[in-house]
Amino acid sequence: MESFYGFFRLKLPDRSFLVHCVRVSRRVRIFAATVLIASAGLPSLSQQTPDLTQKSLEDLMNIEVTSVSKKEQTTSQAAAAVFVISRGDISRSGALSIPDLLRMVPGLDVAQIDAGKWAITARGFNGQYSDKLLVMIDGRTVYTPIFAGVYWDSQNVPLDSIERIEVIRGPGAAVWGANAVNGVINIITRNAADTQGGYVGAGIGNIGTGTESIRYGGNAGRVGAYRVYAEGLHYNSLPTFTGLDGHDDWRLINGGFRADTTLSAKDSLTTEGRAYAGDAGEMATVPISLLPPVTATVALNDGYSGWNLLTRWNRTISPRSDTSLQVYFDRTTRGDTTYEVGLNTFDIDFQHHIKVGTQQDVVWGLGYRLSSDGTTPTLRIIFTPNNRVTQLFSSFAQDDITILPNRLHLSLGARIEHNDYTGLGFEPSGSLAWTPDTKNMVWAAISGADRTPSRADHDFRINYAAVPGPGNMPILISLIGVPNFRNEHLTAYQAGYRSTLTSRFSVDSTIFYNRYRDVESVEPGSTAIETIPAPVHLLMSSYLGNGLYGETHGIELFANWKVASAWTLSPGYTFFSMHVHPFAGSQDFTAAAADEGGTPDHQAQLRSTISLPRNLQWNASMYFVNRLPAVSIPSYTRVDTSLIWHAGERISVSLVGQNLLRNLHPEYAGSSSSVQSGMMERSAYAKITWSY
Amino acid sequence: MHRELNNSERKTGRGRTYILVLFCAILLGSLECQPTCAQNTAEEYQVKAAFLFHFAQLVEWPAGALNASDQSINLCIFDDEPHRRELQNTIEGKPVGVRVMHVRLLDQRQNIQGCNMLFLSRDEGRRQAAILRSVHDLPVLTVGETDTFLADGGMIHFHLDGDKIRFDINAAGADLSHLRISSRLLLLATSVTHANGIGAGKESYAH
Repeated sequence: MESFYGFFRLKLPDRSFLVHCVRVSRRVRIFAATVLIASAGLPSLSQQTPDLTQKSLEDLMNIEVTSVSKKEQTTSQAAAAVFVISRGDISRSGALSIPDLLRMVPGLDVAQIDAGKWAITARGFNGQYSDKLLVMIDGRTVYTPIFAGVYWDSQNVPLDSIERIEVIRGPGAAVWGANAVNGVINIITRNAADTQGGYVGAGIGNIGTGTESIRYGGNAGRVGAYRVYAEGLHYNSLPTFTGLDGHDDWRLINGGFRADTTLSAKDSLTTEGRAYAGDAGEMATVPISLLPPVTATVALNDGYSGWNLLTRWNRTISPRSDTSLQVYFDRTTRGDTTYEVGLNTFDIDFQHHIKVGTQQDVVWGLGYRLSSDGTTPTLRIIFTPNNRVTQLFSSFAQDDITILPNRLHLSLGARIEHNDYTGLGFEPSGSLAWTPDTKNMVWAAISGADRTPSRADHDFRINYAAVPGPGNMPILISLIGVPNFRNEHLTAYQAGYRSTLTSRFSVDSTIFYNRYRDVESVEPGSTAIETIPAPVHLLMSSYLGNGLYGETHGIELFANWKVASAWTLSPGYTFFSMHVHPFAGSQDFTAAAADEGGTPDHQAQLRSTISLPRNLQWNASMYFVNRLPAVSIPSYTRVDTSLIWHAGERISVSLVGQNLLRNLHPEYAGSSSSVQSGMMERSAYAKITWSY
Repeated sequence: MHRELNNSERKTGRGRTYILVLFCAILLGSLECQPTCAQNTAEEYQVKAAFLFHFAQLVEWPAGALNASDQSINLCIFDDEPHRRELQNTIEGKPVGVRVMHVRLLDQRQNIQGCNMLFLSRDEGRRQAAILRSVHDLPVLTVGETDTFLADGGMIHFHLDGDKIRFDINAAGADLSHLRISSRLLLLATSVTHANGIGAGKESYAH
């Protein structure tokens, strides 16, 4: 296991991380050695897959079949609110970024804040830092443990490399871990064997030049395949509601590789890496100085960069059993003149899927994550301590039990996690699925999930403003995190019905009722005299707390109607209601209102896909989003359309129009943040792709 | 505050040790029951590939439909077919009488010229009808999996009976393409639809 340690020593300049690695390396070694011992015993047991073509048809009809990947249930069988964006959906959509693509998911709340920022979540608590939605790319979490949320600007994967995006609404904590409270998004990229040859794409429009991408895939015969890619995008700044420039240009340069190799008939190895750098600006109201007290609205430029490396070893032990061992390292830095954060993440994850007897299908796994961050204090944002190392240990198991074959399935799962902030956590889940026939399915589930404290909840202080006070003493207005911040907890009850009513019409409906407790509140603090930072000043502070509880409920409806063989209509509707209350003793004065009014109560969508003659495809989507009272956003209807022409086998041309109905409308505004949001522009965009 | 931190650190330290011990215990205890678990099981799409191989043997193409020069039977799948590797690994290069089976990958817009068989897995759903319409009178044996596959004009439809693979045949569709399906295959099918749209004396399947 020296290699793990050596890897750190070579690659990591961060001292505190190194020191800690020495400390934990013994434990990691034990863990990793155990994994290796467990796996090393297995090759002797493996055998060549028999040639099935030598069997007679009658024999083949007696074989019990299994799906190779761990429990990759098709959407129609899953006892959860699942929506999958397929590769076909992606190429048809005309979307320019991943958040754009997510708009099509019924029940997801996607609102663009400015050129490079989005607020995305399911089932409430939306915001720029939506802290209850877990997002993963090829098994690597992109949820930041610093602020709790996802930086969509730095995580754009080239859309042409995505195999599918699985979106689960509702808790997935029993399998995916803490923070999968309101939903999970899994972005899965294509196997390198599927992206052979060259690919060049370029696009331009009034909103900027995006997705200029280049990709090349090659192979080493039977051993495996690889691809390398690079992507650049630049979206222009949008005006703010005052009509002035929002200084929110979004730029990203992104490059990486993926290699898929076959080690033996039973073993495959995926290795992928990515490096990126970019920046995204904003107009924000920040304290400039304390003496004299000056607070001003300035243009900030959030610069970010990072790299990551992941490797995953899949082993098919038998048709009834497979394992995967995944290790990744991720380094990311981000900051503007008012804050600076660097974060190193090391993660190791082991999973084992096994069928036991004829009735049980089990997945269990173990995980360990080491996060080490370093921050630089500024007048606006301070983390105390500046640097912190945290560890996460997790284990989970889920058992799908067949009660009546093809009719009734029970699934029980639970995860035990240990994090350094709140200690041990237990997240159970149970679901029942009834399929009276092949066309109908009814399911119900009860699950528990935790949102664990972020570094900000625990250690953070933001000075919002510096203003003149009495007797020439400056006043600093602050929000401060607290070391005793607890987990926010959800108990979720949901049920769904899916039906293929006719060969041309299918529906998917879900109802849910969620109960939250220990929800984040903002509690007023007392006014105090503070000497640091100098000069002596008055501190008017508020503190984060767990002072709220609440309930949400809602309905999510989605249908697919094949009007004609070349025309598909997909309507969707979401109703959502939320009530948040303070516990006795809480004096919350902003959080509850922001939560309640930050998610639309009605959302509706209609998507149309038409295949036209001459290799043309025309898609149009209409989204209605009701008003957001907490952030003063009026209701809006958004119409996007794309026309795609496949000019022969290798070239395709797309014309995309977005926000066609109305120019310059806002979709979201940060309620508690002092950042100005952008007005969405009517836009046209042309893109050409060439594969060879 | 310092005291609190120290306390919590000591507590979390104990938790870590506990969990590490748990990890190792579970890992070591979980070694496979594999030799005894060896049953008559195989991966779904490898088995389906073997079925496709048998279909190629039990279907007769009209004269001239098979390329006389290259001695191959081409099974076409789309290049984004999620199970392409299982299909390729199982049947690529396997002899079918005097011919050889090849798996050909199609771009989304690629002409299906040269395809003798076409397999659409369940993920093809939305573009399935258009594809099937475009080949409905060509000598291409179409095999698929979605509920609407036969209604859309496909010829052989896979379905699962529990964990076992079964298939239905739309003989009318095959007739239209002048493909002759052997009686052996028709006998093994769960249901056979003829031109009048009525099942040929077989009970319609329920699963």
